[in-house]
Amino acid sequence: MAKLVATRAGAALGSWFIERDRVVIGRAEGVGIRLEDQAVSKQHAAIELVGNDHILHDLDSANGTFVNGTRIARHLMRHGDVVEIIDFQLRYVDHKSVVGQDGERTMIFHASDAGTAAGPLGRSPGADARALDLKLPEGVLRVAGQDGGREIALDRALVALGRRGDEYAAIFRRPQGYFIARVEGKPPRVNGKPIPDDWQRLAAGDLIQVGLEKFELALAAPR
Amino acid sequence: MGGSGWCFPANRARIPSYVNVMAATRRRSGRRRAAAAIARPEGEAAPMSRITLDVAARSDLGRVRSFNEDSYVTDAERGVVAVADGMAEHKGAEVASRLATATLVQSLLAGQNLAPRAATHAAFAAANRAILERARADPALKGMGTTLALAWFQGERVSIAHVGDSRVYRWRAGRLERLTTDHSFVQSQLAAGQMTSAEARVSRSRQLVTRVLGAAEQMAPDLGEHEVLAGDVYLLCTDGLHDLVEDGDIAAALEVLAPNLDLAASTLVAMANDRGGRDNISVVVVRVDRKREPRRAPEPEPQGFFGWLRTKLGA
Repeated sequence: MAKLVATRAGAALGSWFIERDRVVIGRAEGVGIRLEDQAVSKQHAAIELVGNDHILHDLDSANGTFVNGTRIARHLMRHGDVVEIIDFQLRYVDHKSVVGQDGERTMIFHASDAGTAAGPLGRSPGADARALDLKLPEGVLRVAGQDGGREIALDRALVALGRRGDEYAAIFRRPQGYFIARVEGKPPRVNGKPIPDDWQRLAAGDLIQVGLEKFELALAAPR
Repeated sequence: MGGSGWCFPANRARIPSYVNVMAATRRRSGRRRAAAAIARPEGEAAPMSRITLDVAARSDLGRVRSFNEDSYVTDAERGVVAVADGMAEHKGAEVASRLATATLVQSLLAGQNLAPRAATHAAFAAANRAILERARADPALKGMGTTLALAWFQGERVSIAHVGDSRVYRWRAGRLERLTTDHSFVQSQLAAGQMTSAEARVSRSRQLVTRVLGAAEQMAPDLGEHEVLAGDVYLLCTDGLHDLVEDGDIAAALEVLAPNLDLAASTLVAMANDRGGRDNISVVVVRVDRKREPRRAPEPEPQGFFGWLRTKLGA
């Protein structure tokens, strides 16, 4: 169950669980979350459940609804978001969004639920967001020999080396570092030795040979 | 149930979660190369297939889940590949996905005298029925269901069919295309303009599927027929892959690693695990090649010295 934890000028005001499919935030009596200040519109904003998501709508309020500092008309709520209305701060807390022991489960959403904002069949909502803040290494391959000085950027998931149908290898950029593998033909050499099959981790300064081409891996200092 | 190309991620429950399931499954299907020949409707001459298929597959537990509920099947000889992602209210997710892939292939083989479209429809209906019947027979399995995505290669055509959010992609001429549209809540929100693609990526409704096998008596797959070209690479995957790995990275794996499908499959799985591996990950990759011109049947081996001499003289 998600909740909103409210503070005003640093003072705790309490918290509200978002239990209904639609909760109105405003100054009027009878709204789900009442913020008593003349600058707050009577019906200022609303949070609606759509599928497994809470969507925040500004209800054409006079002074606006902000999320994490940005004025919004509509916003898909994520764990940790801070909603600001005048000088009220409402932090959106959803512990279920942290992946549990059993991870994400695919669930059946019955079409009959679609018209209403009712929840889907099943239990745990999925984890919040993709964990895509991947920390990836930064490096280049310095080409040795005649082409000396030329550099190949290693800024993509996979970079091909060599020639198809001949000696052909690839460099794989992963959070753990750069890896090299034979794709076809004779295996590439690293520091003079042919590598075993499958991805082998590279270190800064490694000398790589694919066919007749030679490269040196240069890594940027980790930030 | 026939084909030697079967592979179900069996016995996952007994494998401790820290063991990479890949090792346990990788050789069960192996890589298969076969002409995509398939029986045609009666009376119709079988077209000379000018292409061959190369297939590799992986199914991985991921880094969070305790059980692998996905299944896949690769039968390169018959040109049939499929993935399924099981789900359950209580238990039976892996039962549903296995029943789906097994019944699908059985039914396609039994329906060889039907047109591909009718045979595909019948096979999905049979898989749906098999899951419902098993759930009725065993109350503990009530509510189990599964996605199912199929690519059925028949000469120079491929029939694509799916239910749920397992996908079929095609890499062709430098472009990655999705050949299926998810049956998912997020997809319906996107189509209706109710959600932006940026929101879809962080939505917590991502794993809500709107159509599965095992949920209702009537269940129709989406069907598509496409021309197959030499050089095409096809990917079938469960959402454990496409939920975490960007299309650009999928495209890179299919492009750069196409000559080595085993590596392509294991690399896609590694990409998903690097990004959290929050769900089971199953991938099947298929590369289409032009068949090499068959050599003329060798003449009978010439016997003895004079035979050898005749060959030398070109007689």
